[in-house]
Amino acid sequence: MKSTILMQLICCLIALFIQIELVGQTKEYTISGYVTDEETGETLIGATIQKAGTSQGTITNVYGFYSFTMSAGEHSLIISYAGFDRQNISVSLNQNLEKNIILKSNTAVLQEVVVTGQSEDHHIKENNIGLISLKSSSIASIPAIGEADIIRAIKLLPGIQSTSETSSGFSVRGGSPDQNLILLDEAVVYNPSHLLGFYSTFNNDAVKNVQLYKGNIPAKYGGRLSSVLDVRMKEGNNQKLSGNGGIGLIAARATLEAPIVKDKGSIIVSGRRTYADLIARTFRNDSTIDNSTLYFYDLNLKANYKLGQKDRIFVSSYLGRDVFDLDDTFSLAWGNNTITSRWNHIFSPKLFSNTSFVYSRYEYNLGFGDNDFNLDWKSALRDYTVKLDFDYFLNPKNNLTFGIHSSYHRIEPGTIKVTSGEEIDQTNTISEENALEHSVFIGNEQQISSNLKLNYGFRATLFQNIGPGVEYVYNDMFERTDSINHSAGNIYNSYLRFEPRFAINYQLNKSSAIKGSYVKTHQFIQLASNSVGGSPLDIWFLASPNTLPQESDQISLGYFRNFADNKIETSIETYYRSINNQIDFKDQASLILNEELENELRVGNGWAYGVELLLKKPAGRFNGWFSFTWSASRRKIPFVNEGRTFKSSFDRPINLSLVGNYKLNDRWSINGTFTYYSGQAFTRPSSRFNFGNIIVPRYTERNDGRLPSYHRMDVGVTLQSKNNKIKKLKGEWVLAVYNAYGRRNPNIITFQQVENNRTEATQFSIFRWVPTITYNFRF
Amino acid sequence: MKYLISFALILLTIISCEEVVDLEIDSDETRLIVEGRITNELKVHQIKLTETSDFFNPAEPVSVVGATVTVTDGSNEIQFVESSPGIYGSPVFAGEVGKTYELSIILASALANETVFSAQSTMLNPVVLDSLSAFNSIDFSDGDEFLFTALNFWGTGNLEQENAYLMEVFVNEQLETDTINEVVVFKDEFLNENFEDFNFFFIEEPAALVGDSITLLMHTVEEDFADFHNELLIESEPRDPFGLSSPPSNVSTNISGSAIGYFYTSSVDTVYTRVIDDF
Repeated sequence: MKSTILMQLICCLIALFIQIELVGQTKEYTISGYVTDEETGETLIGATIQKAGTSQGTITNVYGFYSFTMSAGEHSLIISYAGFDRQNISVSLNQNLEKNIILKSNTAVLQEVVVTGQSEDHHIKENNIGLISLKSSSIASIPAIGEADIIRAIKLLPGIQSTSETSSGFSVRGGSPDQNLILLDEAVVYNPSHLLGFYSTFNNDAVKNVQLYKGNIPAKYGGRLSSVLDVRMKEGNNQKLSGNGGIGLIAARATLEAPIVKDKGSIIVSGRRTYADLIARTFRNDSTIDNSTLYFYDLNLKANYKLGQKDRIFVSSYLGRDVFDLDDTFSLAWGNNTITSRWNHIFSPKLFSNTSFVYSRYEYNLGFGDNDFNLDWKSALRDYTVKLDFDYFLNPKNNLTFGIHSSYHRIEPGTIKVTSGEEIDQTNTISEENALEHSVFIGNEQQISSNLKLNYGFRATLFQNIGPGVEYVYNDMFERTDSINHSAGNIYNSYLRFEPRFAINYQLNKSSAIKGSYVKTHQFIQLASNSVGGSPLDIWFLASPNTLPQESDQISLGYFRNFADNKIETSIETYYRSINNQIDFKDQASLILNEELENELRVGNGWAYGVELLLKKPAGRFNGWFSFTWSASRRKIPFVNEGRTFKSSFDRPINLSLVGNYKLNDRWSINGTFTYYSGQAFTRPSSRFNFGNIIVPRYTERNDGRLPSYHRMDVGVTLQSKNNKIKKLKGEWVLAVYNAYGRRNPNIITFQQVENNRTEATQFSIFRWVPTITYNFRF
Repeated sequence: MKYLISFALILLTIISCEEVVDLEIDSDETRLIVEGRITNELKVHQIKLTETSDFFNPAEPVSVVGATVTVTDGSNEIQFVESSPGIYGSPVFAGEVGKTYELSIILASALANETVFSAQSTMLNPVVLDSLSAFNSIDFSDGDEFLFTALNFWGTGNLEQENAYLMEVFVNEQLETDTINEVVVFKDEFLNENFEDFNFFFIEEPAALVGDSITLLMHTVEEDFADFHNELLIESEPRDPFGLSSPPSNVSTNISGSAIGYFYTSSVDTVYTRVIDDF
C-alpha cells in the first residue's frame, strides 16, 4: 500500500518533469560550464551569471556548475563572485555552448576579508530567508582558541545558540543539537566535537564553503527537524603544488594540495594534531596529569578528476579520533569516519547529475578499572547512503532539483565487557537497531517576475525498521507486555512522511525585499540526552513502533534591506515552530545501557518562536556584523513536569553577538567578538526534605531557574609577514585571547552536601583568559 | 554510573575553576512530609510528620505537631497519639495480611493551604525465609586487604503475587541499614523464583566480627514502593554534569494533595544467624 503511494509519487514527478520539458521547447540555446578560481582551479559555489542590463541570471550550484538558457543571438554576460574581479563575456548563441569561466581573485583590495561569496545584492534577490553562507576565509578572520572554527563562527549568527561551552553542539531556533543535520561532503557527522568542544571536527583549512539552513530548508535535505549545516570540502589546487599550515600552543596543522594532472584533477590532504596534554604536563606538576593523555587528530583527504567536460569523479574522506586517558584508570576515545565517492555527470547542458555513495561511522569506547577489574564499553553507529541528485536548469525562470536518497542505519548501542585479571567475566550486548530511510524529492526555483521568486518543493520519506532487532510491546501504563525478535531483513514497521517546502521572495525595490517560508521536516533518528552539556557518549536511537517520528512545522517571515549601495546588509526575521511527537525523558529515566530506552521516553509537543536581527557589513577595511535574537522555546509533555508547560533546555531569550574586523594596513589587522546569552535554564531546587534519614531535594518546575548570563569577549591581532616577491612562503602571526576580560561564565552548577547538613551550590566555569599564539603559513 | 560521575567531576576540576556561589531560589510552599509504615509485627507502629525546609540553610527538620492521625482497616479505627514532637504512635497491634489500611491526617494548621491528607496501602503475603548465612571474607583486589561480611539467604517467594522486597539488617540488635539508601529494595519481577544462597548485602567498613549476631528483616511491600525508593536514591545522589543522568525531578508519593512521602504496609519474616570465618 505504502509502496504504491511512493510509485504514484515518482510517476507524478516524472510526468511533471516531462511536461515542463515540453513547455520549454522554444528557439533557445543553453550556455553551461564551470566557474573556477584562476589561482587554484577550485570551482566556485554560488557565483552569479547575469545577462547584462537585465535581472535575468543564474548562480553556480554546489559543484560550481551553471547552465543558462537564452534566445539565439548575441549576449553579454557578467560573471561575478565576491572577492573576485567581475568578468564580462560576449557570447554568440546559435547552438548550445560549453563555456568554463575562470575568475581572478580581486587583488586590488588585497585579500580583503569577505564574509560571504555570491553577488553583492544576493541578499535582496535570493530566497535566502533562514540561510547563512560562510566562506572559510571569513571564518578564519574571527578570533578563536588556537584556530578558526566553523561551529564557533556560526554560533555568532542570529538564531544559533551555543548549548554549552564544552560542546560543539548548537541549538537552532530552540531545537536540540541532534536536530541539526551536519554534513561533511554529504556524509552525516554524528558528533562534531573534538576535545570536549574546544574544537569542532571541521578543519577550516580543508573547508571551502559552509551553508546553514535554519528556515527555508530545500527539499533535497531531510531527516532532521531544525537545520542543515552543509560543509563542503576543498577540492585541492589543480594548478600547482600549494600548501598551508599553522603551529600554535595547542595544536599544529598542515595542508598540502597538488594537481594530479593540471586542470584535470587534484588532491588535498589536511591534518591536525593537538598537544595540549604535553603542554599541561610542562606547566603543572601533577602526577594525575603526567599519567594522562588528552589529544585528538583528524585527517581530511579529497581527490577529484575530470574524465572529460561531462564527467568528474570525487573521493573524499574524513577520519578523526579523540583519545583521553586519565591516570590509567579511565579511558575514553571517540571519532567520526566518513567516506564519500561522487560522480558528476552532465547529461545535457541543462541537466546536471551527481551520484554519491556515502559511508559514515561514529563510535566511542569507554573503559575504566584497574589491573584486577576492567570494564569496557563500545558503541558504534554506521550509515550507508546512496544519493542521486539532479539539477535541471529548465530555463532562466525555472531551476529544478530532484532526486532519490536511500540510507541504511545500523546502531550498536553498546557492548560491555567485564574482565577480572585475564579472564572475561561477562559480555553484555544491547540489541542492535537497523533501519532503512528512503526519500524522493523535487524542488523548483521559479522566477515569476523580475521581483517575485518562489522556491517550492516536496519530499517524501519512507522509514522502515528492519531486523535484526527486538520490538517491545508496552501497555498504556508503560509496562512491557511482549517482546518480538525480528530476524535479519524483516521489515517490521514503516512510516511514510511527506514534507512540503515553500519560500517566497518579493523584491520591493532595488534595495529591499520581503521573504517568507514554510518548511515541514521529520526526524527518525535521535539522541538520548538529558542536558545540554554534551558528551561523546552519544546514545542515538531510531524511530520504532513505540517512538513516532518527530515532526516540525516552521513558518518564517523576513524583511531584508541593503544600504549604501549594498555595502550594508540588514535583515529582520521572525519565526514560529511547532513540533509534534517531541520526545523527552520521563522523570528518573535511565539512559545508559538500557535495552528498553524507548520506554523511558515520553512524547508531547514543543514550540518555539523568535525574532532575529542582523546588520552586516560584508566587505571593506572594516567588516563584521551585529546580531540580536529574542526567542522562546517551550515543551509540554505528559508525565514530564507533571504535564505542565516548561522551558526547554535551549531557551535563552536574549542572544547578542558583535563581530568586527579592522585592517589597519597591509600587515596589521585586529579583530574582536563579543557574545552575550541569557543564562542557561536549569531546574533549581526549591526546598528539601528528610525521608529515611536522607536528604532529598524538591523542585517546583523543570527548567524554572536560570544560571547567570553568559558573556565573553575575544580579541585577536594578525601580523602578516612582509610581502616578499622572492620568497614564496607567506606567513602570519595570530595572537588571540579567548575570554579577554576573564569572565567566570557558569558552565555547570552542582549541589553538594557539606557539614551540618547544609547544601552548597558550586559553579564550574572554564576557559578564563585563554591566550593563544599561532604562526600560519602558506605557499 | 558512579564512575562516570566521578570522572566528569575530576575532569571539570582539572579544566575549570570552581567557586561556591549564592543562588537565588524561589522557595516553594512549605509542605507536609509523611513517613509511615504498618507491619504485621505486634508492636507500636509509627507515623512521622515533618515539614520541607529551606534548601540551602536548613534547620533540623521541623516536626508537625498537634495533628490527628488515624488508620482504618475497613472495620477498625486505630488512633495514633503523638509520643514525641512529630512522631505519632499506635497502640500495640499487628497488621493483618490482605487488609487495606487507610491513613488519614488532619493538621492543626494548614500546610500549602491543605489540612486533610490521606493514603492507603494493602498488606501482602510475606516471603518465607529459610535461613541466613553470614561469613567474613577478604578482598585483595585494591592492593590493600579489605575485610567484609557477606550475607546470603534462602527463602520462598510468593509467585502469584506482584510485590517488592525491602530488607533491613541488624548487627547485634543494632540497625545496620539505618538510612533508606542502605536498605535493599527490589521488585520481585527481577527474581520470580525462590531464593537460594542469594547474596543481598555486604557489611563493610567495618565488617562485622566473627560471632556477631545478624538479623534479616524481610518486608514484603507493594511494588510501587520500589519505584519510590529508586527515585529517592536517584534524586538524593549527585548528577552527572554531561547529561547521562536523568533530569532533576520530584519523587513520587502515595499521599494525597500537596504532601510528600510514603505510607506503606509490610508483612515481615525474620531470620537470624551468627558471623563465621570464611578464610
